[in-house]
Amino acid sequence: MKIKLWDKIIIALLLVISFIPYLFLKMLMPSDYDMIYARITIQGKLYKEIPLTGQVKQKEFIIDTGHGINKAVIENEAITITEADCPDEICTQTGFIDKPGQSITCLPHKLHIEIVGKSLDSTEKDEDIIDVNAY
Amino acid sequence: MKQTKHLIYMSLLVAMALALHLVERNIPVPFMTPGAKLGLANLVTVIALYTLDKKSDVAKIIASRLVLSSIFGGSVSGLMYGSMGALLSFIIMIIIKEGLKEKVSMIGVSAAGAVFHNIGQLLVAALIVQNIGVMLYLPVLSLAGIVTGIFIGIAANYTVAHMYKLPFFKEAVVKEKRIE
Repeated sequence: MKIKLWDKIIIALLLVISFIPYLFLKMLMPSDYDMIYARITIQGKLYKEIPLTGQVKQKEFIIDTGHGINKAVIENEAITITEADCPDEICTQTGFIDKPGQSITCLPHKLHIEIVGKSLDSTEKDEDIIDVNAY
Repeated sequence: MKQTKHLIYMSLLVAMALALHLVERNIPVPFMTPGAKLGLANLVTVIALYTLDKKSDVAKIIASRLVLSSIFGGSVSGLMYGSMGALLSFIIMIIIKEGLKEKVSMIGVSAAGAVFHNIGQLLVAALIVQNIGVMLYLPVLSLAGIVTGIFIGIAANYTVAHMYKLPFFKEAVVKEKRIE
């Protein structure tokens, strides 16, 4: 049995297709950031946005999604879900996330936690650029 | 008689798909994103695509497997992702198989099926949590899908080649093809 030419072409195309959303979303994300936040959304609605930068001490809290309960832990500027009352508990297997773009999803509870990077006030930055040019 | 054999063959495929699905659920997959699965049941879909004449028969096998697997310990939401993934992968496998015919082997077909199964599932997941960020799981999932897809293509190729040696199979399927 031989791998045919078109098999290779298809596999190459599949590789390209699978990285398109990644590259696209990467482009939308700001590349420079000073602070990271954990944005918690339930069915698309913002539930809470928690700053992770500077949050070294362990902090536990409960997210009541309305579909069930998830227990989240913040430690060392990272967030994870430790407990959930959903049947599959896939969210608890994800582990700590701390880089912008990473996310934890609990599908039964329609819960999504993603890390977003934010730069400090953009006007401040503009001033910085002007300063550099001035001196 | 011909019809009965046809029916039995299809039932056997459904049974195999269900068995593979239940077995793979108990195989832990370490290095992958949580929720990732090997997709062994795709083996049966590929075999069905290459041995059954009617595409509707293949669709029937896929639908039966989906419903049965969710009865055997799945969930309703699991059925939702599963059916979207299965539908998308079924469509793309037919397009590739019929569009390229002899130019493509089962490897390309099953790899494409695996990746589009992931895309379908992630689209449903993105709809449920209302966040397109879920699509960031795609590279990991589809890399795994491509690798298993290739191996499933190889396995399906050997299986189908050996199936044509079975007297029963020759009678049930090959003769039918000749008559039509």
